[in-house]
Amino acid sequence: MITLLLQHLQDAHIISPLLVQGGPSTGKTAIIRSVLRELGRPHAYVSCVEHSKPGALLQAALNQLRGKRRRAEDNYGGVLKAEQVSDFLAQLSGLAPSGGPVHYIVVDHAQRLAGSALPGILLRLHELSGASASVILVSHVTWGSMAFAHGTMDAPRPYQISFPGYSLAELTSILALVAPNGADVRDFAAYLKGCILPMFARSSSRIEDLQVLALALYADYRAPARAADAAEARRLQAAFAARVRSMHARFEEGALFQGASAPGAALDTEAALVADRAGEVAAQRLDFELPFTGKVLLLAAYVCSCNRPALDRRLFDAISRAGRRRGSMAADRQAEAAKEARLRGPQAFPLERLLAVYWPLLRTHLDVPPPAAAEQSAEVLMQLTTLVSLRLLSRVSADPLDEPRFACNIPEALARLLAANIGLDLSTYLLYA
Amino acid sequence: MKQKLLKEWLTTTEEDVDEDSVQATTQAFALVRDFPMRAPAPARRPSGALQHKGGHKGDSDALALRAFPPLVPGEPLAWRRQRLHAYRDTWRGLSMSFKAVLEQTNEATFVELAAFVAAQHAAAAQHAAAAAAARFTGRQRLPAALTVAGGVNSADHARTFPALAELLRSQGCHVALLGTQDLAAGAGISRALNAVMRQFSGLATDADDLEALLAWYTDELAGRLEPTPAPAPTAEQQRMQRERRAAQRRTDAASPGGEGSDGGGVVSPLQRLRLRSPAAKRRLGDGEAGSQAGGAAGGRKEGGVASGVHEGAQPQARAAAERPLVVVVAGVEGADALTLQDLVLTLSEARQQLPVTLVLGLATSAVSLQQMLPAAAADCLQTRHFQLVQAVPRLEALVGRVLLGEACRGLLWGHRLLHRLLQLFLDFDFTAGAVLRGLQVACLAHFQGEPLSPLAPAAAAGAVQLCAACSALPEALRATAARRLGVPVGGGARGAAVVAAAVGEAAAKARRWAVALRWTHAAARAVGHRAGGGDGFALHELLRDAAAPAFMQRDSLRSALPRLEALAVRVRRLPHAAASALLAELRELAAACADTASEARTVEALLAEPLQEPAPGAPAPAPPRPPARTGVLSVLRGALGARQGAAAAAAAAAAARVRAHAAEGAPQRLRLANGAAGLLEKAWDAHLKQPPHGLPGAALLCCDDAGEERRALTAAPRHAVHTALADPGAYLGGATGQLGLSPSLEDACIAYQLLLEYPEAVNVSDWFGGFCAVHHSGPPDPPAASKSAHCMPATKPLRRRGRPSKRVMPEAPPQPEAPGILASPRAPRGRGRPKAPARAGAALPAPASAAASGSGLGSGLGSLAGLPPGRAAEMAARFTCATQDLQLMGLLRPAGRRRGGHAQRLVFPPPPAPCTDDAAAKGE
Repeated sequence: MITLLLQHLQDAHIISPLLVQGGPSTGKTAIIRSVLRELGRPHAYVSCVEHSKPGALLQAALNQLRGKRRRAEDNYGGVLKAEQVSDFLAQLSGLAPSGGPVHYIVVDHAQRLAGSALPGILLRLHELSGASASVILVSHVTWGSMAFAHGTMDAPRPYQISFPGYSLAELTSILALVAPNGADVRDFAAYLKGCILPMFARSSSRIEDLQVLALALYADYRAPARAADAAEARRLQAAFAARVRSMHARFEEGALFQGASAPGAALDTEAALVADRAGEVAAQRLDFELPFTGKVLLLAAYVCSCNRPALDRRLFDAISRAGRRRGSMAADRQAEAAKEARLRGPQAFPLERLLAVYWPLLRTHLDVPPPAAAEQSAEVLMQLTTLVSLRLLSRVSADPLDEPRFACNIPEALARLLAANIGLDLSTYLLYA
Repeated sequence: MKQKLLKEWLTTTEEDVDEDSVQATTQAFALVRDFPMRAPAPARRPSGALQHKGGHKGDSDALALRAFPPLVPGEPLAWRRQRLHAYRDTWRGLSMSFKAVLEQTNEATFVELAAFVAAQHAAAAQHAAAAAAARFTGRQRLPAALTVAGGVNSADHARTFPALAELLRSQGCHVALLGTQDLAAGAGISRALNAVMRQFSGLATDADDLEALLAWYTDELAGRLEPTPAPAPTAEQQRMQRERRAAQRRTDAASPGGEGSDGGGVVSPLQRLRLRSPAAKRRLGDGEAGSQAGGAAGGRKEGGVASGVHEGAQPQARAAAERPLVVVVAGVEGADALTLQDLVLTLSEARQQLPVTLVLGLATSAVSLQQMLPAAAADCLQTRHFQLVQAVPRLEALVGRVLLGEACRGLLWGHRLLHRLLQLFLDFDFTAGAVLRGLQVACLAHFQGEPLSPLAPAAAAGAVQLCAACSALPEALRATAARRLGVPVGGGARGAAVVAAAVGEAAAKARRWAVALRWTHAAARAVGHRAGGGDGFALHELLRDAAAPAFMQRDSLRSALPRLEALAVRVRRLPHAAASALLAELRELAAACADTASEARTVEALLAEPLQEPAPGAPAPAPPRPPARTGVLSVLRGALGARQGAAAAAAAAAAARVRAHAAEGAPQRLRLANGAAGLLEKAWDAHLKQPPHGLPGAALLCCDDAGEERRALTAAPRHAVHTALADPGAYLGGATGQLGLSPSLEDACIAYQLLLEYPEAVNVSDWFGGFCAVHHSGPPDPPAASKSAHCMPATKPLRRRGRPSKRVMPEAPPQPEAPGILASPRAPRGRGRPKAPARAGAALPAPASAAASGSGLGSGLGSLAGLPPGRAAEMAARFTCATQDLQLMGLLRPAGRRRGGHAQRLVFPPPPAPCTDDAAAKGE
């Protein structure tokens, strides 16, 4: 790939655009920037992650192509402004006059431009501005994926260079470069080749992940070699194997770097590597404080999101519940409805329904004395706003004149935890869950 | 000039305009005031000195005095002013102590955070050489401190992250504090980068990209930047600083064992934290630390921008490369996940050149970050958890250091008020601010309503001040004092002495009572009770329960005696070391109060006794048999009430057994435990048996008006809207509880009250018919209207869907007189029923158009048949306006397409619940 790149970029007058495609952690950006720097090509590097708006992207590219660093006298702002694409093209022709060396604009994370007209403009830079400029798109997706189809029909197709993922041998060579201080590089490479990569590289080829894993397990790998006797060495070997298996299991389920799935578990990657916290998964406790009304509101919202509105009367109206006659097929119908509800997923509910479920829960089923009529709204609505700001609930209706509708974002585990915390039998209210 | 221009405009737009019309139009467009040629300078408010000089202060005092009306005939103006000033002083001291305690709660976490930031920056500096070699090394792991508040008390944490940023800046860090508005959806990270750039550099720049940040940091490392003069603190900052200093002084005085008492000077918590932190110690020499005690200074750059409320000298400049870069994101849950992801990715890619450390402030838990942050960004974080103090521990600190301390300036808080405030805190918001607001209202109500209230601060100040205040008691208030205190209060010095003795006794009793509560809390913690409460031994629970007269009454359902006896039993079983530690704590608590000096001496003597070890050959006496039922079981029994007598008897028997065993010859290692338990029991008998609130002098000190707090701070917007529409007389002062509807009501009220009779779907035609029937019911005559069959009774529900009822309604109006809605013939159902009008847009079906077109719409428009055309159109227009008002208030909306001609009712007010002051609040 580097050879292809060099072939393409060596001639300072080749204008055709380039698309560098490859998965994450394949060295696309680093190699492109290194090659351009080594070849001394004038270029600008802009990332679509940093600049989400096309105007800002083009303006940043212009200011980099200008070649002068930002100064305190200008408040570190860019000197060149490009409000419109026409401004950009006009100024670009001044910065990279025709006939001069090609100026490159490297657009990283170019897949984020999908759907906009900017790729078409960038691919036709030379045609539109007459400047000696070209673009290098760095993307996770290929040209054939139709991500760049919008506005590029009449643009020149970029020359595509694909960066494949690393092979095991390449990974070994790369990771061996970060061997710990004092470690034998050959021994470390053998460790990578024999213990780490065959197991973990199947799940992820991210250099950062593998590097952290390799460094974390290396001390355990070396421990049997320092053992006093053979029995101790065998015990340490077994412990190392068990640790590797445990790590692999957590790695595959994404819990190693994302934090454990249990509530209250840490997101610490290093700490998670050092201490296996599998035992903490079982430790079920509410790890944050919530006022009593907040808990009941959340449970009411969960009940509303799981049940159909037609069930509310049956659940919360004592007269309706007492007089109900169950037919012989009631259990089957309920099972069918539960299956359907699971497939349908949580549903949005209006504010009035939430309050209509909240008051009976608070009043009847939790044996809480009814508050005075004057106290019924402000604190509860404030609590509702707080829950929305914490993303435990979310408002789904955008029209301020329309009926406010909410969705409950808490998982079932947290709902059951909350219910246990306030002594509520949640299963009583979840007929279809 | 203007008239000329206007004339030209008129003549160019209309060709045949005569002079008169131009003149008339010109007059119509006459300008009241010329447009200013330049923007006027903003009007500046006069400063405090000017206000005083100009007499504004006197006006404001006069205005404030109107809130303190004379409570007894002949109360002099000076005494009212004294009440006003007593309230102001008391409240200022109380609120500042509150804020100081809240600031102190997170000190330890802040120190840890500062150390983490420094360590991460040092680690990044080690890779500086590698960064110089390779200008782009891909994404690096970004150190992130997950600062978890652990609760939804976000209001209390509004100052937490600004205080952290201020602390970090004072230690030489470059700090940028981002809020949720900086990470809003749709704007990308340019706003966040601009905020970072502005706060890092101190420049008012528009630069909003990473290149600008890198250029600034390069200049910073190269030392190319000129130091920026420190801006003078604003008046607001100076005021906050003065308040904080005064609060710290009070809090330190109130907390004998606190950290504030060991220093000589007045040092705010954050300033003290700065001095204690390792970085500050490195940076400051001993002498400099002393000079910094008056106020730590902060700088944004070398000798540069002071970043917060600082005074004193600037800190010595740290080498630019050693100054960590910190981005604090407060309220991560409220930020847009994708924007936060982009910020993390961008900073991660630039980590080699810009070694930023993130501080992510989360309200609930780290799990919420996992759920919101995409994997690509989460993989780039190297996190460490920091836990801020949660709501209940903050409440405990407030109760211990403020409500049970000297900061209350002699005020006592009643059981009903405390019950109400704690209920609000625990049930609704977990915010100490709510408690503070409630206390303020109660404090204000006390000083407004109690004529002798200025004696409370004097009682807290000391006996001399109290005597002086009592001597200054006006003659008009002597009778009031005699009535309140239940003693004859004569004139002159003798009468003043009587009042001072009564009030002083109540104040001293209150101080001893507070010490006894603290002792109980300390003992409960020593035996392992939960610090967060739930078992009745948290400070806030003790304060609330002990203020009730039933706290120590054995025959009361809410008696705490079984709990306390069980606690004493557990204290007697404490090991020697734990008992010794408990006694040391009891000694400290007692020594802090002058009124409990004798108790402190007793504890001291107990601790000073030498430990007599048993003889080596002597058989060890058997340990006291643990009581059969103690501890939690006793507590549960106490709550059950029916079994309470048996429980109390069992606990008392167990305690007696243990006491007897101790008297017979308990091992020496239990001597301290027995002594501690004995002291506790003695304190309970002496100080808790009768709360000081019941003393005659306490009436002057006690704030117990929960109703005022309820009236002032409880907002009920939904209830207010419902009342205003359903019973407007409640607000307008007219006749309330009027039966039926009267045309004298506002149209919106009539429409709303008719709306309440419907279920979710409202047939607009029927509704309109009811509206018309109300207006045709004759002149407003409330008694007649209530009996009139023409008006729709408010309590009678309309018929719902389905077949028409064959039951003859007794309220059905006679047909001939007035064709009301109930009397009007209903529209035929089924095929013969005319179609409802199509709904136009989002507006409700407009009966006006139907009325104008003459097409009958069931019973509603049938009622228009006898009306003249103009009157029918007026009715329709008024009804449309009323329904639009209701729609704008969110009370209803047009129904879906399938139910044309219907409106959907959106609000269903809950059934009225009795307004109860529950028995618990009464403490009985």
